[in-house]
Amino acid sequence: MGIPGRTWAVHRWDAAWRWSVLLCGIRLLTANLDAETVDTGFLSPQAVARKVILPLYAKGEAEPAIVVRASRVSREFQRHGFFRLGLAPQTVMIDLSIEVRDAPRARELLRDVVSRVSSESGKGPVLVRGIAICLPGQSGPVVKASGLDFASGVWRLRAGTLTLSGKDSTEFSDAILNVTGPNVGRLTLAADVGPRVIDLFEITPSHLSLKSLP
Amino acid sequence: MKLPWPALVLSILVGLLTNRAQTADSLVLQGRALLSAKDLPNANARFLTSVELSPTHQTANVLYAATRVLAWPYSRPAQNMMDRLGMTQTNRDLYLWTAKIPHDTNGVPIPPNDLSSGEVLDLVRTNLLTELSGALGNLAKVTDTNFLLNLTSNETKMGDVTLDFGDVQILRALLHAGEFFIYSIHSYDLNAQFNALYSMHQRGELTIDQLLANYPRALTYATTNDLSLASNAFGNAVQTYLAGSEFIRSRPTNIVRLFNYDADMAKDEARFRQTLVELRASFTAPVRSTQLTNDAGSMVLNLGRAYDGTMVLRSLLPTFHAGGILLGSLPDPTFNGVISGLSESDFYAALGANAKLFPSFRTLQQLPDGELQFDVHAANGRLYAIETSSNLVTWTEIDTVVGEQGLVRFVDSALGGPLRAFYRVRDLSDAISFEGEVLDARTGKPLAGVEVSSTIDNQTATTDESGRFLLITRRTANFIGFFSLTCRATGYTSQPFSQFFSGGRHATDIVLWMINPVAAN
Repeated sequence: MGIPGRTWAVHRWDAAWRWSVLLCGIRLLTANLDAETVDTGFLSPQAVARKVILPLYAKGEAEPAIVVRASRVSREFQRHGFFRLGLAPQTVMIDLSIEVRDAPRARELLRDVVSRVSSESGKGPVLVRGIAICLPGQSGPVVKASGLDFASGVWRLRAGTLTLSGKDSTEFSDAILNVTGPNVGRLTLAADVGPRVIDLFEITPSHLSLKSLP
Repeated sequence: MKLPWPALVLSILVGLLTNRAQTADSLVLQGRALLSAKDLPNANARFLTSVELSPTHQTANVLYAATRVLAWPYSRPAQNMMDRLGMTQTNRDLYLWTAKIPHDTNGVPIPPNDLSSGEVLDLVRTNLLTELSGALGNLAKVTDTNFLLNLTSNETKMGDVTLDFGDVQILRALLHAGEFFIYSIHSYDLNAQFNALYSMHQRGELTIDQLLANYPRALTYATTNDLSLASNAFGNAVQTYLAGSEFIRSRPTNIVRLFNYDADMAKDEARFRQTLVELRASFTAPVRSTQLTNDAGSMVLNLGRAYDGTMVLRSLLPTFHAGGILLGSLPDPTFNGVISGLSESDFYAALGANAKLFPSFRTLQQLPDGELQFDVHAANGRLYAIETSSNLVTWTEIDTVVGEQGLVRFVDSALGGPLRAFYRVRDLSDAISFEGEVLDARTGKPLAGVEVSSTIDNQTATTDESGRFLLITRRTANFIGFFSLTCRATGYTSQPFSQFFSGGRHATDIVLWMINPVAAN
């Protein structure tokens, strides 16, 4: 039985991979944050799952603190030169959306977002093409970026925008989001207007200005 | 019952061969179990014995080829070299390599006192190359186009994978390319004591011009014996790549092997194949290149001239200066006949993306009417400032000229004025510049003849008929801070345009608005 409020949907799948995607659905339905990381993947090489939804719960909570959506999750082989290497699979997430519903509890879960989805999808690195982060009280995505690289304790967002209250928009070429440690949620932008830092979990609907780096 | 002797001999032979094949198979199995146990050297030894017992055993040959290359770091010569480099003795394990050579506080490796690059190259040439060539011999034993080898993730430590004939051909191509590279670099004198290089680095003198000055034999031939071997290796690399590529492209799309066709890269891969074919052909005769060429499509390659023992790289280098290249100093734009059809400017245009290009004086002459004319080697399309001085301390800009056909020509017609003892030419391509357009705030139409200036210096620019301007300042530092632009035109007023810039030196797409107070009323 799933926890109330948990949803998992695969609206469409490629016929050739329906069983693996169905398995993926079953596995994510039973996923919770206390579960052990699994080594085997739900997606066979070249399998595709579309419109994936993964709610993440803080321990003991019935409502998700974060809801992760991806328009497409697939297994591909990494490209090296002109070929794709059958020895090097990777998970590709297209249009990853991270909707923070409970900011205080989401702090603890943020670092698990990608690892949860990737651990369910198998071994190898994760490639994200397009990411949006939505926060409570904000009308649209606060952060949008074209790509995401993972490093120890941080996410590096590439070529994106930070939009506060739906109108105060700042473009950035690179941004670092702390996803673990005491500064979790801190977003540091390398923008045309110089470096700026903001705590995503302290943004209020009336928040209009950016704090400068000390 | 008595068997006739030919039948007896035949049965013994069959028995022996069968036993041998079984033994080779069992050794392969043992080796694979050792691979799973991360015991690469012993797995390699089992595959070797298997190959010795059954020299045509395809699976044994492929596994031996792979492990003999991968196990090379465990060999005594390689370990000795790591010892000499001061590398920590523990954890020299390919599966979990944490051994490191000593570094200084800046992360630069600290070399031992008695080691030279020549010794490292000799080790690579003698020991590593032997293994590469041996592995190539093993892979060449795979002649069956239906060959398949399934490897488990336990064996590869990465993932399950199946190799087929096409994969083996690509692996052969990569090894041949490695051979080509080693033969090529070993042909040239690249010998230098590492601690001497480290000292140069610490003194901030590790530049190409300083290296060439300190090592007068650098990039001359160390030996010409390997050149024909390099040439053969290149041909073999191309041949095996083409075979592998053809096999992989003809595979059904629903099967997965080690190297898999990528439809997104099909065009690039086709161009690459064409380039390889042309390069290979150019070892025997000049070839007009269709892929590696300039805009005019006039490049002819003759790589045979690079491997016939007559091309001394050092003698073909341009003059390096202060980490850049002196324009006009390329001794032979054909590089010993290897490349023809390109102008000297084509090379500088290619080099300019990664290196500083310094102008240099070419000719100086007095014209019949007394004027002074000088030509300077320059990069095409770049803006240069002509400056003059009487004391080499204070310089005054007297003109700006754009480089064309590799030259900047300047005629000083003001010789009757103040003494001009010295001239210099400054490349303004690194200067801070602003590019954009000026529009009428009421009509939105572009304004011509508007003077644009900045708060950086007193340089000005004037908009053209389409309202475009390019203001090049004389400051070469990066943008940091607020800069203002101001427009002046008769009958118009404008607010200074102010913006914070950081990073880069060229601001583009700036739009400035001017108001005509009379028309606005």
